[in-house]
Amino acid sequence: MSRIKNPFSVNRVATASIATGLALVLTACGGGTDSPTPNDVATNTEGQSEELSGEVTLIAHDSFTFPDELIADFEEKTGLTLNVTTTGDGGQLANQLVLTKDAPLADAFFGVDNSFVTGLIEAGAVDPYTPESLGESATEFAADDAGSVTPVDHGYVCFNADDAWFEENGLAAPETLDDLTDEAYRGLTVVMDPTASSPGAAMLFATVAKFGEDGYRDYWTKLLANDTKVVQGWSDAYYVDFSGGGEDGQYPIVVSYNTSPAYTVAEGSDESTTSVLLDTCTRQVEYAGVLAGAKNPAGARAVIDYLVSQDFQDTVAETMYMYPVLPSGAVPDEWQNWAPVPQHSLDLAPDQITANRAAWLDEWSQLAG
Amino acid sequence: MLPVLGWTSTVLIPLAFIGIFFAWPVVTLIVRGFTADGAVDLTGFADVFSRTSTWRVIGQTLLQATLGTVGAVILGLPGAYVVSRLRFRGRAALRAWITVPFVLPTVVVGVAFRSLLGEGGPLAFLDWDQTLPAVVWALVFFNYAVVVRTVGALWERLDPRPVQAARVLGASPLRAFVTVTLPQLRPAIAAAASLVFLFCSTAFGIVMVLGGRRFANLEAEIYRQTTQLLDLRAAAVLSIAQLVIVSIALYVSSRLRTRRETALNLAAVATTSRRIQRADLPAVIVTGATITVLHVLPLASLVARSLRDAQGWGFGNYTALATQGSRDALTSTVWEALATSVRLALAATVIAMIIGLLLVTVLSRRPGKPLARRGIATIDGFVMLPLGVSAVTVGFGLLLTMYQPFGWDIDLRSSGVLIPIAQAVVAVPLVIRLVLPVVRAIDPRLRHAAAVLGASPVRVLATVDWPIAARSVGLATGFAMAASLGEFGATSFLVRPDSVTMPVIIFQLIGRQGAQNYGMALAAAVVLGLVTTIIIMAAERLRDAGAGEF
Amino acid sequence: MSRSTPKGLEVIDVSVTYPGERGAQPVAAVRGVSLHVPQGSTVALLGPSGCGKSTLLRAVTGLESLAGGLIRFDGQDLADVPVHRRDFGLVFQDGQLFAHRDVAGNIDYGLVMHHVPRAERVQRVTELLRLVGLEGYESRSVATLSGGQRQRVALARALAPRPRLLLLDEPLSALDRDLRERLSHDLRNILRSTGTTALYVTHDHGEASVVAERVLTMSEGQLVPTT
Repeated sequence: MSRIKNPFSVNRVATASIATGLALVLTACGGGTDSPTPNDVATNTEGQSEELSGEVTLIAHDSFTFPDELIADFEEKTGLTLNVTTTGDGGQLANQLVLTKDAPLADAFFGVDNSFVTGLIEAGAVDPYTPESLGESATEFAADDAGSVTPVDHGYVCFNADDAWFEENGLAAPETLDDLTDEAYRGLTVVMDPTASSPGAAMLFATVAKFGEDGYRDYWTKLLANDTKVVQGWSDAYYVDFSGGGEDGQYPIVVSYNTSPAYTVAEGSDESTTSVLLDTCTRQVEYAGVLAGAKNPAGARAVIDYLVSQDFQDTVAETMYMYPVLPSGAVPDEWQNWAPVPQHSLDLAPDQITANRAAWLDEWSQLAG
Repeated sequence: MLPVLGWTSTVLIPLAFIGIFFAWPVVTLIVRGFTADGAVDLTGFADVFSRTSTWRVIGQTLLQATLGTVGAVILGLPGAYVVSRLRFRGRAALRAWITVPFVLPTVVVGVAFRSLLGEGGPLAFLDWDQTLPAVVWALVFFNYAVVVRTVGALWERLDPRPVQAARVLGASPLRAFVTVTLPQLRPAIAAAASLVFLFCSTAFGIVMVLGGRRFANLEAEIYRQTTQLLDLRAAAVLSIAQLVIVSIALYVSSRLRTRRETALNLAAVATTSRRIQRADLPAVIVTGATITVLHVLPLASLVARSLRDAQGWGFGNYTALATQGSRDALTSTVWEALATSVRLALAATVIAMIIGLLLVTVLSRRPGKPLARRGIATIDGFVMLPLGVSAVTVGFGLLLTMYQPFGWDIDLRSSGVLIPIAQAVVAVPLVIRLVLPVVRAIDPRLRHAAAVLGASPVRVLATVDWPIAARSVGLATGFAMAASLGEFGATSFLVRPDSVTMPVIIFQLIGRQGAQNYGMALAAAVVLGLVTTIIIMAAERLRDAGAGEF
Repeated sequence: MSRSTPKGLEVIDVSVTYPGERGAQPVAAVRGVSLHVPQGSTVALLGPSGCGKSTLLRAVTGLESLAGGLIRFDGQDLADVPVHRRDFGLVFQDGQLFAHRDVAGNIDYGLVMHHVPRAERVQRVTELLRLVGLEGYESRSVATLSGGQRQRVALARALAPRPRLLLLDEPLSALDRDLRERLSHDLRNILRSTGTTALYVTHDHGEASVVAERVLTMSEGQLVPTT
């Protein structure tokens, strides 16, 4: 895997951010007592760094949540004023950032995933930055060797099965991608159109990872021939078509997340009615970064430092339904029980996805008709 | 001197508004799509049009928009009759209620329709899931109100006596309708049809959800090309195709409108409506059936589902609206989002009404000079375009143009002001098409009479046009507000500073895991529908109180 | 029935009631009116505006439903005969011409409804335009007509299908005095020459006595007994 080697690691910018990052981690651990004032942060960096002051703007996708008390905390610690703006979904965000790279919409961004992030980097829309504080544990999530962007959280897109349905119908639940093309599971699967849905696209890339650039088309031909239903979005698939979504759907197998079974535990029960097909998972990583041409680059770096601080990482699972990138980040209890992290996942390198995304989606469209 | 100055600004202000916030962004994005490394590159046309999928989406767009328009007009005419000519208890509520679909987020409506039509749903036997009939049904669902209200606004003002004259001359009620009423309503029907056609050809979410891949339209294709692939070249070509289709539709509609457009005898509303009689039964039955199948079925399933949570039946989902969702997953509560939505919609409505009414003032004149007449026809078509152009194209275009526009030192893109402006741009055509048919039907001799009696142009507006048009202005206000409240496309493509609107929060909720989020999404959609009903009812009450009948 | 039924229009004890607005008491616009218009004659209903005369006239056409009483024509009860099957003609105060049809198209209208063959219709339109003094006006747009011309077209339109009964609702009231006097004489001549049975509503006493053979007065929904 790649390692984080920050090309800026010896210059003052990184020094400043290390200090900031450390300060943040320290205050997080110190429970707020004796926390350094914003001025301390700035002067700690040997008087060379930019003043942390003024406004800093973060742009994120629609599903992003920056809890109010953490905004207050961030502002108190850094002396910055943070504006959080949102726009569209992850794909829209990525493309908007590329389109506006000459006049960026914000100082920092959050929420571009591994399938879009290389495009952003290659377009020159990003000012490379990864906080040193992130440490080795995050290396496996890095988008590139240069550490251009900072991983903040991750999750898995996997097939889910309605165990209750399989039990009732005396059929063993499938386990692998190949199982889904088996005659025994004819007409039982619902997937999302990868050209319209981001988890749908993730699953397409997973099949490329599994079967290779030549094999994935055969796989999809077989899968679709096995009466697999294609719908346009996740909520559509999960709530309308999936039999385990609690809404009288008819398909016991669906593309969803590895955490989904944690939300199908009936009240008072200690078992989930659905489960993850752990051999069918692919990882999604969401990144944050400093936008090239940011008005307040130092502020942007402070925001990113904060996104990977313990305090913020503790909220990621609760609010965004993703695993924090810090191993020490809090995760809800029910995830421990019903949302196991897959041992291995079907992943492609981000640059490989960016390079082939259009071609694969186009090929898929043609075979899906 | 003064009137000349007045007319100039009356024309220029709205045109500048639409030019800056619509035309400029769209043209900029399209030009960007055709520019590669500083040189113009038109190979995109050949490339995009050589794909069979392009022709399929163009064909689907035309087919769906045509069927949706025809369906909405055929079903909407009896509905317009019932709500505008008949008097019955609950009429105001019915008028407001049929407008509700107009604001409901398509993602929720899509789920509601699919849970009816999909396998296991009560209407599964129709086998309509992901078929053309499902798409057309949904398009009619959204646009029924446009026909009912646009046509109704003129119909309720039509003097009943020409029809009575026809009846006495031997025409059956149906003949009298076809030979007398229909020609009088023609401008309003053409206006409504053009609105519906534009709405249908740019319908996005609902077509995707209900039609699936096979019935994707141009709008969906533009969305894919821009937001999934950032293929601006293809998006630019498709946007031009969309513009061509929409322009043709607008041209046809304006021909239909103006060829027979004459001043009509308009009557005070109070004299035109009456109680339901036996002869009205066909219209009442058709309308009742339409509303039942079109509105009650999907909406009732939505409401019923919103009243169910993990504990069974109850208001659990509604009490949850005061929270930030399970595990505080939302940045604000649904009520806060509602407040944001109402605030933005108020701002958008004020803008849309100012711009829209200025344009109505201009477009309602019938100058003698052919050049001026043609100018007015051109403006009329131009201001309709925002409805027919993809929200993605406009949204991305605004991102390109609104960074320090005209050298001002202000980044409009992230300031938040673009949201009500973008909503207003889309609401202006609605205002025009609702108010203009009534104002154009005013006998110009009334204005001449007032002018001869010494009224200044402004006084003529205030004393002749306003009292007659006031009711449709009230209606347009309600519609503009509803359109802004439910607007999702442009809002979601723009940058929102720390505030979510109702459609956005519903979209967030339904996209998250957990049955409670799903229940909350449906409850929030129901709340949005209720609020809309109340706002429209209030707007219609205002119009009654504010303007004396003439 | 031993008594031979009289020809023409019989209005027998007719009442018309309007529902009250927003819960108010119903308004009795016409109360127990009886009258007879013998075949070939013209009867005028005279009275101030709001006295119920127009309502009574509309009730005769079938445009208002009766709260009580009976309307017969040539002995036939009209209760179940819809408006368009009564073969009546109606002229409104302000013409109510069809704005989207030309002059000929307006006069033609009733003929089309009565399935008159085309050639005959053209002839009849010419004939009627001559009758009302508007020869050659066939293809004129109604928007270009003066007030008096409009009323002439309205009269021609109503007469074209040869109605059994012609109902005129203040047909000259919107016109100026000179024109009104001239037209009221024209009107009388036309009604006489075509042998039309007519009920003529007006508030102008002079006009009523010129046009009609008999003048009845209405007040507050009732006929004022002639002394």
